[in-house]
Amino acid sequence: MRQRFERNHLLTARVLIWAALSALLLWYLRWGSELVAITPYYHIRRSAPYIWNAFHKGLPDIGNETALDIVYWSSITVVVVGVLALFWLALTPSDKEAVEPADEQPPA
Amino acid sequence: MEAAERPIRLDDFPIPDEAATVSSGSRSGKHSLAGFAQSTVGRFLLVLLVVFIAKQALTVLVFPPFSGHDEVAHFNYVETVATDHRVPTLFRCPTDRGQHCLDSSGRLTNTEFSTWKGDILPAYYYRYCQFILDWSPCEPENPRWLDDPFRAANWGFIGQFPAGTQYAANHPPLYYALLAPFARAGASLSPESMQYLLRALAIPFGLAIILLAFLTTRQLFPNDRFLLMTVPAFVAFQPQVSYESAMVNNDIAGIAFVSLVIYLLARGIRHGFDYVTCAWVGAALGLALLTKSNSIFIIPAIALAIALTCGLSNVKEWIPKGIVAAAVGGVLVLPWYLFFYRTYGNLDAFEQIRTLQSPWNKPGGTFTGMLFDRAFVWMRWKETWGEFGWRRIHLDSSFLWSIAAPIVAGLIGLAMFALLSAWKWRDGRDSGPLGFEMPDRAQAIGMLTFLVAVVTAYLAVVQFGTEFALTQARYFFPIVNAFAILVLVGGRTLLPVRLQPIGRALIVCGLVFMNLIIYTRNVIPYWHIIQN
Repeated sequence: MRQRFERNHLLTARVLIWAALSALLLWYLRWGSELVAITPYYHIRRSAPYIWNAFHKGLPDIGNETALDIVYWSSITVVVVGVLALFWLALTPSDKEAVEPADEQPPA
Repeated sequence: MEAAERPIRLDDFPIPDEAATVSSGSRSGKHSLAGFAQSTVGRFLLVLLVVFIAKQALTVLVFPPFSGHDEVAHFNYVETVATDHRVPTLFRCPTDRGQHCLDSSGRLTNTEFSTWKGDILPAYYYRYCQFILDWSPCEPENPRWLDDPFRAANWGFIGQFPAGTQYAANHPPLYYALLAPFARAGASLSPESMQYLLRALAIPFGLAIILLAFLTTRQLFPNDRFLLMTVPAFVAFQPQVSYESAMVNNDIAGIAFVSLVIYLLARGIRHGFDYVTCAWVGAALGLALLTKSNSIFIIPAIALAIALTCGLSNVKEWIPKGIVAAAVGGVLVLPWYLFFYRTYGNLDAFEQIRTLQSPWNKPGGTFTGMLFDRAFVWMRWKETWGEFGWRRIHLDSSFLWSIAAPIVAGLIGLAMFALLSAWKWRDGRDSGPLGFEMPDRAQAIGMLTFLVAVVTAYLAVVQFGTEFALTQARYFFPIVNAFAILVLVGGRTLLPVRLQPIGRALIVCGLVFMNLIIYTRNVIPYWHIIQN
């Protein structure tokens, strides 16, 4: 019973932390902004989507434009989805990490 | 049979963390790989590699053509190997193989550059002169110079010096030879398109480095999920290693081959250095030296690893094994250095480089002066995380400090790890406080070896600065895997075991955000038009 409770407790904690990290990442990508330098003395604030869109517009004139578009968007998708998966996998405890240390057990 | 003599077997490498997937000698390699891919650590590594490829595809595209450090010179080296079937040579005065060409006041004794030997960069690349060392005067906007660019620059009192020369010709040929078949296959492409293709071919080297980071960690800490995840993640998201892995430059291949040496050392430390392993270490060292000469700094770490693993007092064992490693490495690099000596009259061509760059690349100072110079240290730190290209894109100092904070914490944890290891070794307890775990013999030797590798690499950068002020942090990037293991062992020591899953998620998150912010705040706005 205690083990089951602890397992559920661990899973809940893992889901909550994963959701928080993921929300932080997605929030930055959608609503984040940065102060960028136009000149060494002049900075303006621009949103993260605006800045990445500037990169998309400035893709090099090589090869096929559609192919470059596919590379760009598929790379971004893979990075974002992959990073969310990395957060989840990083949070997976090993057996050693999931076990309550002996000296932390309450007295019987 | 002694452990040091025991041959390496497949079942010496159990797949970590999931008992159900532990490979056995009877299973096929394919089966073991499938089992590994189903383990949490295996899945993490596979996802990390896929993310790395996608991230690198974007990195290849975000930087304009030829904007990487010395990218034009390295690209032209590949072209020379692919089309002329030879290595280029440094532009040098005709007397004494390019030596003693400067008088006591720093002027050239011969300014008839038509009589000089060696390679110059094709006129086409003058349009990228802002990225080249040093093609001045740099006026690519003037069409007059595009077809007939400057080939000499007047430096005032010290007179004329050549400009637009092939200054990467002192590098060994392996990286360029590996890329030459692709350059031949894509000969019909424009230089810019070809350059993007060759940039993309740096990605497999980056993948190899991450894989070797994982394998090295697994040799020393086979069941430590914290390290098995965070070490490869650290390497995959290290911004400058990623940058090297998206440009035309032999640096990335040099990092890969030194990482291979480090992996073989970890394997030898864990399973013993038999003669075959020593020969493999020598071969990897030879390949590293044939890629980039600065790989020489790893030799003290090799010697230490072999000597400590065999037992310091066991001189009759480790000296012949060291000789085997040195001999194999020496045989591989011998033809290159014979060619080098015949061409330049020395083994480093520093004199010829000094001659070409003497107006602007003077010695940086004394060894101890630079070692304790805060500005020197801070510049290396800036170059380790930013600067991109020839010191172009500067990161905010507050941001650089925020990167430094967790690394300093990791180093404090590492010191704690060393002290606790020494202290607990006497009373026999093997875990706690926090995340401390008593190292076994292989881990202790491995950590000491990596520490020596990291320190030697840094000192080599300082030493190079005594010759040329233009020394750079990227010369110590080949120890990235060793450094990552040291810092993250320190980080693990500071984290109680139950908090380590959260700790590694935060580390991955921090690494991802570091890259995201660097590219969003600094790199993209630097190169791509942001409307006012």
